[in-house]
Amino acid sequence: MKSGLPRYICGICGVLMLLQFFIPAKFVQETVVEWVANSIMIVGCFGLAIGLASLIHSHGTRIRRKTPGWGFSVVTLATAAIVAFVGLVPRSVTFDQADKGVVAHTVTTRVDRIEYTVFGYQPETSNLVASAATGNMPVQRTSKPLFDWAYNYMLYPLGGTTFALLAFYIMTAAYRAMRVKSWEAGLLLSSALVVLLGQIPVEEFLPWVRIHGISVFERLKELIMNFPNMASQRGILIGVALGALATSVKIIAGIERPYMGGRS
Amino acid sequence: MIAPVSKPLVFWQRHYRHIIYVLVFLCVLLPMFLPVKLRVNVSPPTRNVFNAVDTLAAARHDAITNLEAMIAATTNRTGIARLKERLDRLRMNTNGVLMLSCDFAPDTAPELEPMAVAILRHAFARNVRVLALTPSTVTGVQLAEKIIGVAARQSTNLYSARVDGRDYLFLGFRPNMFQLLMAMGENISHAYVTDNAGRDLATQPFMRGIQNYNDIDLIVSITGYTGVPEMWIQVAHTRNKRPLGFGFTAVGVTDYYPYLHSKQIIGLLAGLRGAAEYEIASGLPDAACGRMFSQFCSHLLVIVLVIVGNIEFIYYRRRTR
Repeated sequence: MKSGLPRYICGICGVLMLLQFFIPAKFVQETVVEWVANSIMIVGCFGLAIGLASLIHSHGTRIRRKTPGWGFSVVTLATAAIVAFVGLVPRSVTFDQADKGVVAHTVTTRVDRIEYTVFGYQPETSNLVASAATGNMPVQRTSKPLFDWAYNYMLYPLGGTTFALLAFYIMTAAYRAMRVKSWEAGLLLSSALVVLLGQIPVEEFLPWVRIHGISVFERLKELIMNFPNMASQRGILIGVALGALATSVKIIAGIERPYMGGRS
Repeated sequence: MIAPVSKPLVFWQRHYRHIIYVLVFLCVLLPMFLPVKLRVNVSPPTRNVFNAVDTLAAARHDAITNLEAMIAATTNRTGIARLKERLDRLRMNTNGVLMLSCDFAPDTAPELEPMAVAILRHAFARNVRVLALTPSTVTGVQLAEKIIGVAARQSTNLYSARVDGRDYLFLGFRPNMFQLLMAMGENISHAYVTDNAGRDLATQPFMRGIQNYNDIDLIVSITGYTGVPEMWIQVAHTRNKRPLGFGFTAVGVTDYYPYLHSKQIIGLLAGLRGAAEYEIASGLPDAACGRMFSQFCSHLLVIVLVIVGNIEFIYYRRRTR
């Protein structure tokens, strides 16, 4: 029972997921698909709760035992708590006037064309549009000031900065690793250089590389992308897809059970 | 006996990291302040996405004409009623509807944000209605909301204002992307229920002409996450036969060329250059074109560093022999 029930649930769910791709019946396409989608979302929400509990447990243990680097755990938990609190603050809804500075010069008399809208056939400069454009219609704005502040001034710059650090590592890696130690490495390096040059408009500064208005590097880049790259990517894709298919069939049939800690 | 290494070489070996870091910093930063806007050639994959957005109204007109012909040829009453219902929905958005999936977060925003802005401006300029969403990442919601809001305000022209809820709508994020995309194939209002601002989708004027993917003329996903385009291809193209375009970070764009050639996607915007190409195609050079000079200098630096590294490698190999 303990191992059988998860296996049956997994098998049934796997078959349900497959059905929606192969049976075009309305019942399957509407009712079953919607039921599966809702179920997965609900299970996902429970997974989120379990993830949060696991985060608190593992970092709480590190703080309690004062393991090396426990200060980072304090920061992690404190940040999670602050962001969750800030996110729970309800949205403030305000009704502002439309931005007069942008569209104050709107002329309401000209009719560009008649369009069928949800308000019926109407000219483009309908009453709604005109009143919004001239600033008479209140515009609803919703915002979470604290959450917006945390996003704009913490998450946004931190995310950008972390990703930007990659540029420095890539540059040093280019200097240290891209060396012609064999003819295969030379081939790889020369194609990388061609793609790099094809990605930038070198012809703006070196007009002699231009053939019929397009840089020779750009043409070579397109050749590399469209033939050797595409052929190898296609091979990898087909290989991966076949592997995934075989693994999926084994999981649905209950032969492989990674969801039970790898026990079979 | 090995000859002693010269002093500049010793200095270089000891401090090459610092020197490279300073050079990278300067190569990225300084060009930002120089008023050099490079013009780039528009590649066919970018041109295809541009043309698809540009001809959305014509595509919608064709769809309406085809449906009218189908109704005229159908004798089954139930079938006619269903087709007429769909025809009414199509007539509600005569300029077409674009679904823009902003599947990116702040980390890849410098590369992908210009793409989203360029596509939105182009769509608004053509009076195309835009349904935006962020199904893959919760950290990109506010970014996408800001982008679409700013683009709508900037696209407000002399005769029309872009009204939230009528000309565009932002749906935001819901968990479990794949199932969400599948559910949207049946009914978008059932899958999302409310938009990002918490308003009931059923009450939004925008949604009256839109039930599922059949009422969307083009789907464009802009992302830096591997796996996201595959989900869109499986659901939007393979299952629902909708035209699909992508914008992807330059580092991972090579993975998606097979889909381009198999015509599963109509076009592909590759990194910052793709965004610059789109800006050039739409005649509005902006942020991406401005950043191209910075990318130009950085790429040249990579090439110089590779050459320097190889000269050093050959030099040491000869010395040790």
